[in-house]
Amino acid sequence: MNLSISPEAVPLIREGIFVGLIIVTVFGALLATLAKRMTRAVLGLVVCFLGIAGIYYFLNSPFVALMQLLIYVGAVAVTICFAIMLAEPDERKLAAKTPGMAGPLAVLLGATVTWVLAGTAIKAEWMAPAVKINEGSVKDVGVSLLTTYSMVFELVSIVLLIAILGSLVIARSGRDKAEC
Amino acid sequence: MAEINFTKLLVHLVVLVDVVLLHVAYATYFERKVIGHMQMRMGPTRVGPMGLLQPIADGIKLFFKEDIIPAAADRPLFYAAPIICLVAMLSCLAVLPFDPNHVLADLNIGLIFIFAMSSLASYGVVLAGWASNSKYSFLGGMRSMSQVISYEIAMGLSLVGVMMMTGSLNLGQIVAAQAASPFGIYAIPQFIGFFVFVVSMLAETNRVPFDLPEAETELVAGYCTEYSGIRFSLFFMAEYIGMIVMASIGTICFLGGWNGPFTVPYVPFFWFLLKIYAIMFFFFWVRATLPRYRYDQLMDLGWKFLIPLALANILLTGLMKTVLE
Amino acid sequence: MDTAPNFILTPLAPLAPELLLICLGLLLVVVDLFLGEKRHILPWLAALGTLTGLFLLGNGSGHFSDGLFGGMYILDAYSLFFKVICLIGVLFTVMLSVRYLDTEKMHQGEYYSLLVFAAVGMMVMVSAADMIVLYLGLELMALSVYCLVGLLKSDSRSNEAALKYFLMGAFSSGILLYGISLIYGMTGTTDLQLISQRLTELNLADNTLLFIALGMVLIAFSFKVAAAPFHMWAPDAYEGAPTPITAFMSVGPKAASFAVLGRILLSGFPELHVHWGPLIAGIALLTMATGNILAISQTNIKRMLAYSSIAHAGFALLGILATSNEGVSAIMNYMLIYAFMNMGAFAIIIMLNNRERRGEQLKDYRGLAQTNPVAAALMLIFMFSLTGIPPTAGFIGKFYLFLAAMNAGYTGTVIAAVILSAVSAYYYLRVVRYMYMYDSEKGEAVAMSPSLTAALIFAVIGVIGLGVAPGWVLEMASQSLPALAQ
Repeated sequence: MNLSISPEAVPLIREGIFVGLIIVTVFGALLATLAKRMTRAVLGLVVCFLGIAGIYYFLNSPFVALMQLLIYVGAVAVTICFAIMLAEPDERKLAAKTPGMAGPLAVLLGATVTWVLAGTAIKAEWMAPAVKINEGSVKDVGVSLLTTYSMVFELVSIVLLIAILGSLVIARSGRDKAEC
Repeated sequence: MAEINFTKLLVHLVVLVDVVLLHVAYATYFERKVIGHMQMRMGPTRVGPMGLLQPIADGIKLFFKEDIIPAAADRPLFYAAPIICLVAMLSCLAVLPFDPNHVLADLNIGLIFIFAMSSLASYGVVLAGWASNSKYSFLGGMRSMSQVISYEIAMGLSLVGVMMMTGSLNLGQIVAAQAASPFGIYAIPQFIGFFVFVVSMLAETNRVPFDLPEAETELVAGYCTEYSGIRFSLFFMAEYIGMIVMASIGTICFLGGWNGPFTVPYVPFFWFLLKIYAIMFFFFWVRATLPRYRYDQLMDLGWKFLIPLALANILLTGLMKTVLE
Repeated sequence: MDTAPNFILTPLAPLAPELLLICLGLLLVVVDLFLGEKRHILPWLAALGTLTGLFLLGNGSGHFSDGLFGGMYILDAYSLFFKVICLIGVLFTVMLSVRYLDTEKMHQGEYYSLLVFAAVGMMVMVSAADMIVLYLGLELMALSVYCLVGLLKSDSRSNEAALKYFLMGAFSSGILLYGISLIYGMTGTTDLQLISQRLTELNLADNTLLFIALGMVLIAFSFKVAAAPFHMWAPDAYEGAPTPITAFMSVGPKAASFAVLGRILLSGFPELHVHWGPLIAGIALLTMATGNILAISQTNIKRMLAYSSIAHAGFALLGILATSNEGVSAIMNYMLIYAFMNMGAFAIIIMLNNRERRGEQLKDYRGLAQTNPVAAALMLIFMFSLTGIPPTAGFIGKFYLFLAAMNAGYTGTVIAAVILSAVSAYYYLRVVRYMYMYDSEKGEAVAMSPSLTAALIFAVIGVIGLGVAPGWVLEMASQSLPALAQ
């Protein structure tokens, strides 16, 4: 069963994979927005992240794809999951509170924005598809982080530090018990 | 690129999964025997000669048991959870090189792939806990998740030393580089990393002394309390595959992979299997000897001891590398 | 191992102020851990560090460079000027905070640390020559300020403020990133200079998508400077935040955002002025109208100052509209002046803040002229300056802004601005009326503290000094510009 794929079919398969990934991403996003139960919404977010990771992989950046999995799926969404499961929001109350006009209005607005953006984006003359500068391997990523993007790299670390510091300040109840 | 040999791929896939599942089955037998003997009893003896057919009997029993779903469970998630676990764990197998020529997907960043997949598996656990709508399951799921993500950091950092020495994340290349290194295995120069790895390996797989997610004295069976029959066995398989995967990573990254003191003819993966069995034996040995940690001790150990230790190891490795070059 | 890559070590001396402040921020957290009861030295440490930073900035002109880190970071007189404004803002905030934090019993180390990190973020923003660096600076600033706003944890208004600010801020960051990514897609670069080059090379000036992308960037920064119609978060956030932080928010982040807006529009997209000009004019007009008119009905003075801050953002947008060195130097001048007068006004609010009353309601100002004539007189000066009455600095600031917009041909907008400026007199002078025309209910003396006094003196010198002798700042500002606009 040596299945050989004719050269003509290759772009078709590529297209198919791409569309599949897009469908996964959009499905996840929709699930995240429309799910009634918060935990399912988080799961939708995870599915969305998975789709995006797939798109990265498809675009020849396996490292970024796996980092997306590791960081967003494995850490960020997990933390959200924790927060939601532990906080146990009252889901019935949430469901009841949507004002009547908000839904249709949001759909209308969203559709308009999408339509305008997609319309112009399809017609626009983009830069030629980025030339593959390097393999996107760990080494290349590492080298460019420490040379071209050293400033960005350092800045990101400071931003993350502040995020940690800030969340601790907000979440912790004062240094002394009496303070808060 | 355009031509893919599907037959070979398919056969490879089926054989791989089958062999691993068989190993899972006999790992349980192995475990019961080892622990049995350590506790001065026989372990399974009835089914087949020396109880050798026991795992088969267990499998058949689990397969035909009634599949009970709690009335208040969140059904779609309840169904999905064990599958997520098993699929994530099985996909880890794809990148493991059992010998120089046997690797399903020779990924350049195989190590990261395994991490990514095992972080996916933790979703199965936490969703199982949540979807069961039972407090034991929920607590078990939460515990497991927080434990897994905490120790994943320590484990990732412990392997950074290996990555630095090899300069690659490809598992095959890690083994090859190890063979060329002075000691032949990284467990010696990377002894701190190896130590951190072994401890976090136990925690990652929710094994004793870190088996709090399924601590039977307090949580019945943790996140799989409400599962029965085939769904339970999916979790069970995922857990044991997880152990095998962790043992394989340990073998590949620290114990020299498929290389051994001499080449064994016809069985290229002889040494690999032997090392995996050794690590599996270690798992069981620990289970038979050590008491369980308390939960806060577990977290303290992970965050305040292992992670700093692993970071120090990275620093040390970097220093050694610069000094030696 | 194969060939080692060439690591280019950027000389760090030009970054001394930023590095110093980062170290200061870390130091404040760590020192706090060991100080115990002696925590009251923390603000002085922060102030000392900020002053050293200012001093290093003063030496900074020797380090001007077109592109550190491969062109991602620019050190020029323009960024230097705004960095000075930001640090002055931080210094003021620290001085205002001492008393306030004592009264509110807030824990301290992280507060000052976050403040300093916000300053670092702003400094990065104004020096950024690359969209990525710019975004990171913005996030650094924004994250710190979100947390600072929510620091009064037992106060539900503070929580609400932080939440609103955070959600809106995150949303606007998202829009900014979308805009940046579209620009990257069209031009293939995130470097502002290169973007400008590519625009001409690729003949993109009339491209619709690029226009949309630029619009997104504009929207994002309109959020940040609280320009209408993206100002909704501001009154709530300003009201709920700890008062020194409100003061800081209205000065520091605003100045930095204007600096960035100036750099993006004038150095990245000068060709598109035909497109963004009318847009900015509309936003400016709407902002001035919203801010000034809605401020009239406020009885909470912090909320009133929030609307006033919106209005002032509208005035400052006139300078961007002018697209000339004149306009930009007018903004720089205005931002400096605004820092002084606004900080002064907030210093008075904090002075009136004690356990029983917060000094936030207009009625708290009844008869202030009798109980504390000096404070009332100072408030009078600041209110005059905010209105733009000569000889205070506020007049000078507005005058040059209007002049610049006028010279650029936006006569109609300027006329509207002048009218709205007259409207603003109503609510600013109402405070004055409360202070001088009503009798005090309780003859309560206000407590002073050394740092607050210093801040007030500093502010009043700034307001009067810049009002009487405005020339040198303007000159300095316009000298710093040749690099920016053509």
